[in-house]
Amino acid sequence: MAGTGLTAATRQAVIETPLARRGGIRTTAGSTVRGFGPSAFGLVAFFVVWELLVRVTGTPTFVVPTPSASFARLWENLGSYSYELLFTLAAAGAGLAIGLTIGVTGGVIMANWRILERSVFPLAVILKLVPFVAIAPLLRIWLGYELAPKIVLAALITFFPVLVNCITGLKAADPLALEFFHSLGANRWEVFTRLRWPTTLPYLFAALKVCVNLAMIGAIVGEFFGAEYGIGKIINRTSLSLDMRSMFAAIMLLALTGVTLTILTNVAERRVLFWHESVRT
Amino acid sequence: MPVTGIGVPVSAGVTPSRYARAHVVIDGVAKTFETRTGSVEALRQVSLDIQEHEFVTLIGPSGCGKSTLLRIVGGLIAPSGGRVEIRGRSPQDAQRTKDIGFVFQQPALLPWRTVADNIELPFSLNRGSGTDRLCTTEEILTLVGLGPFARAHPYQLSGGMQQRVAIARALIFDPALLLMDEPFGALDEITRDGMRYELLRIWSGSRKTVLFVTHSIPEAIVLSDRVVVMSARPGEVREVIEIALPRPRGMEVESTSEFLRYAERLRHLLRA
Repeated sequence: MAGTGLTAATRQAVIETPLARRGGIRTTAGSTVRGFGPSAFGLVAFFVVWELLVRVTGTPTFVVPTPSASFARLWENLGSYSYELLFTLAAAGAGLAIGLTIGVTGGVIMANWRILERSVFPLAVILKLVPFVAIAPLLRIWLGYELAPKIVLAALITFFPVLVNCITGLKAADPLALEFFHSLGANRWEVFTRLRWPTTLPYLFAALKVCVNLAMIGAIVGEFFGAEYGIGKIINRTSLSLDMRSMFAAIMLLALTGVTLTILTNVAERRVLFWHESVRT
Repeated sequence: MPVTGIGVPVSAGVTPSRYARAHVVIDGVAKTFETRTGSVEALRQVSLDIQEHEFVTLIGPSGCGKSTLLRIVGGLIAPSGGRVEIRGRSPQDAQRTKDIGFVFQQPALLPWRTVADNIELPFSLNRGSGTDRLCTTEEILTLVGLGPFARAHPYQLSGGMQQRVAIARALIFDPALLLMDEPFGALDEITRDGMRYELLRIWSGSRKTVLFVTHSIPEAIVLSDRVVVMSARPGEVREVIEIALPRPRGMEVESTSEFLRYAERLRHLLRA
């Protein structure tokens, strides 16, 4: 009996729409692949020009090293740098986890209780307005030279974007969907779990994309102010000894890490938010 | 005032038992919205009885309070005066027992759920109360002509198809009353013309009691047992017209002389 009452035109639409969409996705994927070409070219060109400039102008290595020399140094030190990087990643990861937990918990509470939003949110704004670099030395004095101050720093920077986006997302539920839920006598918990929370996910991913990099910045800045381990410590130390090659090697490793983390976040977003416009288009 | 008694020829002369018999009773419902710039009277003393299995349409100019009335009947807005009863109970009680099925101008589906999961949604709300089922999800998908799309996501469907999912979602839990707020208002003319008869076909299977809001005169005539014409703000019932066209109605009904007479009558009432 399938489609008995359908007009020919509707049936045509029924058949064609998903195919057309799939075609659309294929086009997008194709353009991403094509998009790699120019960006790879730009990257290579950047390094070539850099290399040439340094060689042609005879710039001394202790001012700007050639990229080839920096890569070579990175390759030599990959083992020890990666070991240091693990500490930075651990601090950033733990800080991000705490920032996410505080941001989401706070967001859920504030979105549900107006009074709390009005009383606590300004505090969060003030906390956010203090330049976090200014707190770093204080945290080192209070919390020492290990992971703790870096974790706190990363958490301090990341909680706010998560909090703001979480509140916005929780209030962004489709009003008609809300009416449908209410017309069925849904309780608050059901509205939250089945409507408000899924609606919030795109907002949280937008925050996460920013916060992944912010957490790294927090951890590295923390390491600048004194740390036993971490890639920030390497950068700090090499800058004192003007070992520019090693310094650039460490920076390149961080850039690579940043790219990897961003790609991972985007992959996760595509998996979770396959239904959302931001991912589909 | 022509409002009292609201020309319900069916129940005329049975006034004492009227409330007991009517499936939905709208009695002197008024609504005034308080805004910052003053109060706006949206509805004034609207009364209407709807019998079980009846298809009643509200038609009227923009801003006549049709949607407001529908939301009051569905318990989404509280009236400023008067009362609504659905099977002798308040709209809130009807919500609790899942006796109200809403279809809006937009499908309002959950984009992260598949078509089948969207249709199943009502069963996971309200602590699963009112688990009566009209039929299986597969059956209702077939009924609305979306058999092969159970595992598709809403974004893979056209607007008309999404609206069919919304209709299926409102029917699956077998509500006592179906409230439809311009369900085809956001569709293009061609799709809309087709959907009218799709809905008629779906409805004739279950014969749910329907209160339907529309701007479209042909839609109102083709679908309804009675058409309630409302006047502009404040919304009042201007006239109730019984549509005596025989059922089942097909597309050819729109070229009959009775249809054209009804259309002329409605157009006249809406212009006046």
